[in-house]
Amino acid sequence: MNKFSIATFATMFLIIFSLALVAQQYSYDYENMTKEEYAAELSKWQKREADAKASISEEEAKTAHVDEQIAAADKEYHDCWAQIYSMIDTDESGYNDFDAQCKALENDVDSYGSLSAEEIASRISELEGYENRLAELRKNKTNLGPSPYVTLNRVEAALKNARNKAESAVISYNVVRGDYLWRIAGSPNIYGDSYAWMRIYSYNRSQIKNPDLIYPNQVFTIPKTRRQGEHWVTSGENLTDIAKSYGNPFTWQRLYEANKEVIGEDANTIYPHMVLSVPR
Amino acid sequence: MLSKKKAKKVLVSIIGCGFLVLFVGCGWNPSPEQIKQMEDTRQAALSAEQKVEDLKSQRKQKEDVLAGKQRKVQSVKGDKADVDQRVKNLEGN
Repeated sequence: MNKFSIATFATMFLIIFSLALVAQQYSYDYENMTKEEYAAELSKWQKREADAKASISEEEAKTAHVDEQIAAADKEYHDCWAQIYSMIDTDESGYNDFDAQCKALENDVDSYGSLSAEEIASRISELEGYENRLAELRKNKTNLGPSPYVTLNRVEAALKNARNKAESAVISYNVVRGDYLWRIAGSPNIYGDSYAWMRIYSYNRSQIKNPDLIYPNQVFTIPKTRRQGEHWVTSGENLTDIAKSYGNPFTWQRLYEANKEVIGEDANTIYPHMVLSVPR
Repeated sequence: MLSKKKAKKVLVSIIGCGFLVLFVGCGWNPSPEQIKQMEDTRQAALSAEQKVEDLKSQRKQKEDVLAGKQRKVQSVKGDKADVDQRVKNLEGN
């Protein structure tokens, strides 16, 4: 083979190779494409592009409409809340603060669910404190709001359960020979305070005609905690003080009338550990 | 003057190149501008179609958000009615 033939073949090879390389960069084999095929393909892609652009406009319009609906829903939601705040004489900040107070009370009261009747009875002052907090919160009109209303109803139910549980902590005491009220009250299992004999007497008046006379085999009901609507007199209290603690000092007469049998003729003479009924 | 053999070889090479040119040069082929137009159009169509899919997906997400907000609106309307009733009961008492 002479140099001329080699050069010819090399040239032919280079041309074919270059064409092949160029053909690989494109989506089509343009080399084998006819004019009609080219026109059809181009037309097809032009139509697809036009259709897609029309769809883009349509989608953008639909999305804009959804955005408007979202904005309208937001406005309606906020307007509704503004009306609620107005109905219960508050604003958003006041409502949230109040709701937080309700939830804090609920949190405090939650622990009572797991306590025994005796444990609750021993913490009766704390329970009364929660009942007072609930009463204060109920005085605020905001308590009618959606969340506070539900929360405070739960708190009320929990406190009622706790109170019922505490009041169920009652000792049934069998009198034995040698017992007397002073001694029974002083027992650590009862009140641990002999002066509280008055309570045992108050709760068992139907059996005890004379507090100095009790008999073996008598069974006394001795509550560990006072019931709702009762007041255990403490040292230094008078009827005015007690009436004041329940809301109105001027209702001491009603208090006396409701407990005349226990207090006696002299309204000024009441004793610690007396059990009084508090009229509503 | 070329010998017969050499002349034959030159002739074959010329014919071979001629066929090559025929193969490459004859018939219709798109010009570089036409190729560019085809490729650009195809790419533009595919991009636009992808954008349509993206927009549809975005709209679907926003519709889900809207549905959630509309549920909240219904819920707060119910709450408002309840509060209204409670306030009326309180003022009635």
